[in-house]
Amino acid sequence: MDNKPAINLQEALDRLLDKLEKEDITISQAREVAILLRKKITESQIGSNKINDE
Amino acid sequence: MTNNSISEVAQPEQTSIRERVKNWVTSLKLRNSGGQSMAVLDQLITPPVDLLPIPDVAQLRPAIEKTPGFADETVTEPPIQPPSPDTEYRSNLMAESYEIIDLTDNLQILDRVSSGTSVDSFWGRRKNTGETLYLKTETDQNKLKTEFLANSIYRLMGINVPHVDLVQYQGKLWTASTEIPNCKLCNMGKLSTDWETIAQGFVTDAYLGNLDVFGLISNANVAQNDHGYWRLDLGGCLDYRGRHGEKTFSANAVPEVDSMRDNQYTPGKVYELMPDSAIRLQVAVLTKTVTDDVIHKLVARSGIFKPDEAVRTLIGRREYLKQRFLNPTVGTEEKGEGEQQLDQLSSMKCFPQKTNELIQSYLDLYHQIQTQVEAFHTRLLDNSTHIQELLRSVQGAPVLDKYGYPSYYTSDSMELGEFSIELSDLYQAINTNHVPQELDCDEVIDCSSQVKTIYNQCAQILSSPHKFLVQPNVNKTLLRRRIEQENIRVNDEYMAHVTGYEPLLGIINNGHLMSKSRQIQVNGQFRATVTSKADQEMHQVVFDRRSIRPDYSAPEGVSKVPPVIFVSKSSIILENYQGLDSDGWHAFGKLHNAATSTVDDFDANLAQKSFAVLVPEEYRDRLYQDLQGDYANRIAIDERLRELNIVFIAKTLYRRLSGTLYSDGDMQQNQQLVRAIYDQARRVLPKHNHVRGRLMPNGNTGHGSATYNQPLNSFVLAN
Repeated sequence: MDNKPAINLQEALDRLLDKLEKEDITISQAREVAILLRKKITESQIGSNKINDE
Repeated sequence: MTNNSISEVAQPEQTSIRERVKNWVTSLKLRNSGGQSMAVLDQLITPPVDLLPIPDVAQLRPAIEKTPGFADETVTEPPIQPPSPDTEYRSNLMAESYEIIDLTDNLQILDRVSSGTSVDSFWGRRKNTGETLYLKTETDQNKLKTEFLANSIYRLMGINVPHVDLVQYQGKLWTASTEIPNCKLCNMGKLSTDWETIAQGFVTDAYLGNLDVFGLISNANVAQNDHGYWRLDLGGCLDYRGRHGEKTFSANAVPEVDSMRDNQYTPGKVYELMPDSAIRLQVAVLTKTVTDDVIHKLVARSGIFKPDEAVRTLIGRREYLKQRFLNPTVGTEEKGEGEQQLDQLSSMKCFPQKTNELIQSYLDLYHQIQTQVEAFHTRLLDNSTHIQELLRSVQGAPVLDKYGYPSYYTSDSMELGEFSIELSDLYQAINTNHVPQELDCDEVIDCSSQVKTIYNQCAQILSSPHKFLVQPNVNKTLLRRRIEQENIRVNDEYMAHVTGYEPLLGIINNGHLMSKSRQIQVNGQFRATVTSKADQEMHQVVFDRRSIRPDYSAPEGVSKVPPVIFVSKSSIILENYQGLDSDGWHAFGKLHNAATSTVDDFDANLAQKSFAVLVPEEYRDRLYQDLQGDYANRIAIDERLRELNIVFIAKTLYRRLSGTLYSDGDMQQNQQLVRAIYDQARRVLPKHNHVRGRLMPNGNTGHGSATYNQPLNSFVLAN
């Protein structure tokens, strides 16, 4: 699981964590986005632009 | 509009949770930049449970239901009996003349309670009767007399208080209270539990402004024995505070009837659920018991300072309660005149045109959101069986992670997750579109309640704890109370318009304060003192609210001269077409309407005494000299000045000792000056009718702007 992930996921998480840090979103909302990201990953779309779109 | 979502109910330990969240996010960021994105994703999906303080709706429910007006269709009102007046006390009171007895040689000191510079008190025993008394004296003797007066009114109303008398002891005036046998002090918890009994005295408490009725939370001023509850310390009644100093005490309204039900303050913690219906019954008793002749008698026997003012205040306050709560329709479903007017004022009808358009844009936005929420709701209903299955599947999932969350790796939970994201977006959309509180009105409350109700139904289907607290009746009640408070303030405060000496002569001759345009019509000309202002603001007169311009810009060449100050009740603004601009409140005539291009000039007849005209003392000689040609003699001039409510004011009120005029800054710094000037005016101004209206803060609207308020004189209540 800790294999080097696609860079787009890292960027998406970076943005998500930034928002969480600034309290623009709540943990529940971050969790919901994370669930979606996870869904995209399980659909074997790691590294595709679709993740970035989220 | 108040933000009433449940999710925003204050959480315990909010700061520490916030700190923990911050630390957690920082650690996640570090791990993410260290290449452990998948682990971070897992952490985000299953955050530590203690960082997610989801409020428990079931726990909150009792607190919500305690809110006044909550679901008032189903809540039955508490049975609060009105007090039974003490008729025997009343007949004795009216028959006897009051005599202050001297106890110097007839008192044995039992226990000294306090001995200070301002207050001195002790327990003593009357030698001849053996009666135990509590004696108290203060430097401010008027406070003792006020307490004595308040005590008499409580006794008349049949509300338990110790019998208080004014006595002389060792050359000083004291209040002597009888001992209440076998009583123990009550704490706030006790009072809140048995509030329906205490509330028998609510109207009397509010009428007398007894904000200190329950004292401090740890030190209640109420005691209990077999005969019920006793109000012990009435030192904070009328214009006195419980502890020290004076408080604002309105002479023509009883704002305490609302503020003492506001649970932000100590009395509200007991009285917050006091319904208007019970107040009505008590006001009926008050108006029958505390009649004009009783008030005259009580004030005279108390010997308080300024007895005329006290009589006027007690009558004015009683009339306010009568007007607001008593009407021919008591006991029926119909609302009284006063309440109907408040209803009108809390609707969009009372807004100026531009504000109305602004509110309409908010309403349109709510309708848009409503369409989206309704569409979402329909989709949820269409898929309700499937959603129930998904919820069951997630809840019944055997795989729980170590934090107790269901595993989110199933396709069911992901599908649910998408629904909840959509729900969350709608929540945000509703939550971020607030209408500013001052623009709140019934239409906004109804509209937002509708949207929130449908949203809550969606949240219910998805088992989301994030719901809105929908309580339109509570919000409407609070809105009416806010408007009522504003009315009371406006009726009690003053506004000022200043002019110079030259215009004053013209005003004395024709007896009117008029806009420039009207002056041109009447006098054939308008003499502008400052040429640059000559062609502006032709139809209005500008007033300062709660302040005074300390000087007047004289004709070109001389910068500032002492002002002639026209003072009127702020309700003059409500009675006319009005608007707030950068330089003050602009009053036009009643019929003025920028929207329909109807021009109506401000014109007030000074002989109707709605103004006090304060003229600087240093103009006095010059004024008599200039007027002598127009009047037969000095007596005739005096008569004219009296007719127009013209009084001379001390030089010190607008000039410093150095001789220079005060500046705006000085006036703002030193509110005493403003108060002194208004006090001067108050002495000459007659009691003004109570007026209802809403002052809308339009901001800097610019001259002739259509955002000026419609005249609110249709809401004027003539006493």
